[in-house]
Amino acid sequence: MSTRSKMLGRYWYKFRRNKLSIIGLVAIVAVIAIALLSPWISPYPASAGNYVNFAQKNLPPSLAHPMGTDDAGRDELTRVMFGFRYSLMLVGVVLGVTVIPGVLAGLYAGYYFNRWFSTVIMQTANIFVAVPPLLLALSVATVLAPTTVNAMLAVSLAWWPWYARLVYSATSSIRNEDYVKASELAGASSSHTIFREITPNVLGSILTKVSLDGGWVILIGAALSYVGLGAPTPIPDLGTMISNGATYLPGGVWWTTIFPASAIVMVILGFNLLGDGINDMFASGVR
Amino acid sequence: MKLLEIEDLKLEYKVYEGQLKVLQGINLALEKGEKIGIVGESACGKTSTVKAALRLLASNATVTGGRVTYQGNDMLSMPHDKLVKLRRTSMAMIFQDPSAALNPVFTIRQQMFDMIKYSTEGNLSTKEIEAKATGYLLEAALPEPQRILGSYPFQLSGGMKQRVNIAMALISSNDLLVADEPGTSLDVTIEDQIMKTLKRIVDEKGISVILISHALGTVKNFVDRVYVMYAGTIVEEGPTSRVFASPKHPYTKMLIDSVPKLTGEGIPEGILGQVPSYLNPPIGCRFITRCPFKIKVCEGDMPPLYTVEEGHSSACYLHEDKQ
Amino acid sequence: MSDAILSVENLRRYFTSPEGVIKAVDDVSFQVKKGEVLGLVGESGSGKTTIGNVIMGIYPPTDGTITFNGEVLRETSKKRSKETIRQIQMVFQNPASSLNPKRTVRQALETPLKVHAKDVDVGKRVDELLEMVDLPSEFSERYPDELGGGETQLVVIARALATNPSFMVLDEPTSALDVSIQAKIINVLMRLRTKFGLSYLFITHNLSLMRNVSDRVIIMYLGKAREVAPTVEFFRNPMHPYTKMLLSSIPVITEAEEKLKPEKVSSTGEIAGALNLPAGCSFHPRCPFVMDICKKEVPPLLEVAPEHLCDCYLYLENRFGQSARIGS
Repeated sequence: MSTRSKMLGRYWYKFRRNKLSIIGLVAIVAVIAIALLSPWISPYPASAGNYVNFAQKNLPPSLAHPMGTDDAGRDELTRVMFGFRYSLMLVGVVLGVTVIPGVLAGLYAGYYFNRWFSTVIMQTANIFVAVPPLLLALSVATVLAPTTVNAMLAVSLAWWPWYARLVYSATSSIRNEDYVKASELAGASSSHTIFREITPNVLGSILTKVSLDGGWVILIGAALSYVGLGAPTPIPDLGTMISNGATYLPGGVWWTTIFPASAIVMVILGFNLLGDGINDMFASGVR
Repeated sequence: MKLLEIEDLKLEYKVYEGQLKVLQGINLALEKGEKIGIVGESACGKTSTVKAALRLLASNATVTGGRVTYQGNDMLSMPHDKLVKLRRTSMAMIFQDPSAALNPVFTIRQQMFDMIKYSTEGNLSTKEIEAKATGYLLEAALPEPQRILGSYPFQLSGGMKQRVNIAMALISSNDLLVADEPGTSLDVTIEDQIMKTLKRIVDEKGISVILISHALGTVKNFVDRVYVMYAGTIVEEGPTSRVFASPKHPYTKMLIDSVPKLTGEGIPEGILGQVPSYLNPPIGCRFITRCPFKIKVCEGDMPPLYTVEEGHSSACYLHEDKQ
Repeated sequence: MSDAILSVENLRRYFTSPEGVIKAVDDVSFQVKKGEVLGLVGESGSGKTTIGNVIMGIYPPTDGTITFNGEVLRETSKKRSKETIRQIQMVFQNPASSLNPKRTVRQALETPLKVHAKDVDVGKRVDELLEMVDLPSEFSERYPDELGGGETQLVVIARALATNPSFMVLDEPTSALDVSIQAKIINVLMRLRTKFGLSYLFITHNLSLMRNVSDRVIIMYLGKAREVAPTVEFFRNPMHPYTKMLLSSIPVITEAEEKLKPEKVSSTGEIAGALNLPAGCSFHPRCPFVMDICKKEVPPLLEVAPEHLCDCYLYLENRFGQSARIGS
């Protein structure tokens, strides 16, 4: 067995020991698959767009419409499937923009922890941490236009410092390990020490957080769209769907709220369980 | 009746690569008031043996055979509440890392009070508990009990913490005390003092002791009988003075030879080779891969313990004809 | 001394903490001669590890100079020349943290090579290094958690050798290992020393090991050197009460060793907190032979027998005559 495959095999063993992690993995894989394939596998693709058919408005779940229809007559199941697309795009963009800068900031601040710019970086991070993301998003929306892009921008601004802090904390403790000292004593360059010696040992925490964050970003995104800062109609956004559907709840129309909400729960739970599994994978002391 | 008797104990651990067949039929006996030592290098199973006997094993460990009797009771099948009662009143353990048994966010007083409260029948007043706690600390040769009681673990040195552990062990160990490498993480002069204190206490109170250590010298000065373990098997057992002065098993001999001597005999040879993997251990004698005296029969069944002199046995086929 | 490869003069290293100043190393001077093994012995708080770290440049000294091959060393390793870094290497105490758990043995060995020996055939050199420490070449593909403690230390030694050093600081290289493996590591270290003419500063608390490995011994206590002597002389004629206390506390196995131990100097009390060092001789609260002067004046480290230095007033009497008995 090659070293690489043996290592991966060990990771997989640690991951699958907990059945819940498998459930998380399956859930997220399913969500990703649905999101990618939705234009082809959804029953009424047109429902994801500007389709209206008020004759079919607010129909309860049936064989033709397993999740019923919404207040514009659009098939709910299709919209939920496309909703996954939007949610995952939100996750991809926010994390794609915040993870790398946050990690880099944390690495440098942690490695050079006794230099001035380390303090500058971490105090800047602290400032952003102090502001709740939702509040920040609302403020940005008030100042700029209340669009999706701005909402995502606001969320990203609130997000990067958490990565910086996590990585800073891990780096400053790993920094004192003998093997890092050995690398420096051998005369290796700082970038070698930071990226080749320290980073692989911080990777576990980063990946765990990325997975858990998937859930958080979706939740915050849904909250933002619930208060009207999400995608404009008719784009299927799970949060907006819940918001629109909520007005009909008193009238007994439960399916336009419950199904999108369950979809959100499924995704968040999936990311959480997956995150636990990733954490187990990198945990040391477990054979 | 022996205090503790371990018969033919077998133990396995489950890991990613398979099953680790660690203990292979351990036989061990401890009389009341006796002090025994279990000596061996890391991962030889010395701690596992004791943990199995006291039901302290990790979740991936399974006892696959054997019996353990404590004061006549079967330990392996004992119901949990009976086990807890035994632990509160009859047995205690001291570990290698002095900080490990002490909760860092509570003062020594808080920790000792809890222990004293739970291990005595009936209700004691705070004053009585304080008096008892002070008493235990003084027994463990701690000179300023009031100051110690008011301190947090981080305010105490390694040696002091270990003495606190001894004091706390005295609360619940009326019959048995297990010390797992108690001096290994301490400085030599401190370890010396601790072991002397411990010896005085257990001799005074007639407490039986199991001392686990890889430090041969520490064991030699403390216990009456010693068991030498290698790769999950007992290879030699006997009175301490005899085992050290006249070791019979090749491993014991080579182990003693590996220790640098104060008399300046040069750098020892060490033992070439590796401890065999527990995944696929040798069927016969487990020392076969490194033994310079191996013969054909060693590959067969595991060698039994042959008596080489009164009370002293060695598990090696070389001694077969001496029976 | 022209035959000294490393010379430490008046070295001090203090650490400031909120509770006060810790004088980890307090005015220590010694030399390591070319090709010798100098044993630095002490318990926790003695400052022996700190000396090793300062020599390596992990942190700078508070005061004093370190000279290597006649050249004064710059304070931290980052400021030192590549050539100096190449020549001075270290073996650490704890095998578990000496190797990066996420890198293979090969990668660990390549790191110093890539800095100092870029044009050399790296692959071949890695195999060479493993052979020097008696490890099979297949080990290069292993991760540290697949290595035993002894094997890990051998890899650490191989890594230290990668740059062809002339001097190594060995900080408790075998303390965390089983006895049967310790011997193997020591054998490898001694063989390499002979083969490559290395000089070692061997830091340990194990006196029995020192007896068999070092040419000279320095005993440290609370930041100061208390006794220095060639090994044989040291064990034959230990002088300082602390040395005697140490020697009499060692757990030994054979009767022959027991007879060799000095008469029991009972070790009382705790090692004094590094923060509240006693006045005068820092050992005096534990010393059964304490005199008045010991409580007042810090004793100097002086030669009291040929090549045998000691800083105890019991012996300094000989040099100072009656002045040592001030106030007693």
